[in-house]
Amino acid sequence: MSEEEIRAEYAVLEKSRKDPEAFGQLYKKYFDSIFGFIYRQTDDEDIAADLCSQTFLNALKNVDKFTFKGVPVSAWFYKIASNEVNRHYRKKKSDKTFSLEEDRIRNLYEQANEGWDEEMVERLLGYLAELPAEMLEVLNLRFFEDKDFKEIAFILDITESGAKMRAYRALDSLRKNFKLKIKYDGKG
Amino acid sequence: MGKVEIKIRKKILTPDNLQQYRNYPALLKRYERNKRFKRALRIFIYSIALTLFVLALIFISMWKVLIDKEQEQKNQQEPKTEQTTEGNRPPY
Repeated sequence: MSEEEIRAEYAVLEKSRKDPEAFGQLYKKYFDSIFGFIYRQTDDEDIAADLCSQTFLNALKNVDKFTFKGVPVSAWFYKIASNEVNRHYRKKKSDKTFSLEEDRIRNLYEQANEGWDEEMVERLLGYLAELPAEMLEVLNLRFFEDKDFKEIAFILDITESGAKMRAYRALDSLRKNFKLKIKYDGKG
Repeated sequence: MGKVEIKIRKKILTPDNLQQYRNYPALLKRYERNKRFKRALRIFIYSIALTLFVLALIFISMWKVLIDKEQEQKNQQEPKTEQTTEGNRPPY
């Protein structure tokens, strides 16, 4: 996303301070991706719908506090959504769930010229389950949401080098254990 | 952070699937309701603070009036006692 596009979105935010109807543009544009992001971490459509609605409500309530920080407006939404998901799990006192699309996993295997092997997939799931949640969060944002490290750092409130480090460690281990050809930039 | 459960799902969310959840007018309504509630809460807190302030003012002024009255009574009583002591003083 170019800086001009980012600034244009911030202009919409500015407008929404006086006219909440204007916020609808951003809602329409980002609803699906924020919903998907939450759904991947809850595996429940109703919960995802509630949290997604709460995310946009919080964004609208705090529209006065948004300041230009060089990241797209969507990064704010992801940050709020991530906080909402974490709050949900704290309240529920249960383990976090990541539900990954089978298609995406298949793509990884196809890129590695490996057959779709159930046993391998089971092993991969086991491996991912062993990863710390903060590493999974980085992988999720990097490879499922296509976010760059600057945005990931902003969303997770960590440094850019910290985000890179987490992704690098997780990928390094994935490559060694599963012969997956994932590059650091997320491309196969 | 706690443990993580990883699942694989076949279902892919499409814009058509999500149409049922996309509802900006409902979100706006919630936002307006929330704004009204916040405004009412602010007015309530301000009125409570104002009431407490007025009560404090009333209390302070009543206390001052009481003190003034006591002082006045003392002032009135003091000359009388002086007179009686003067009157009861035995002649030399």
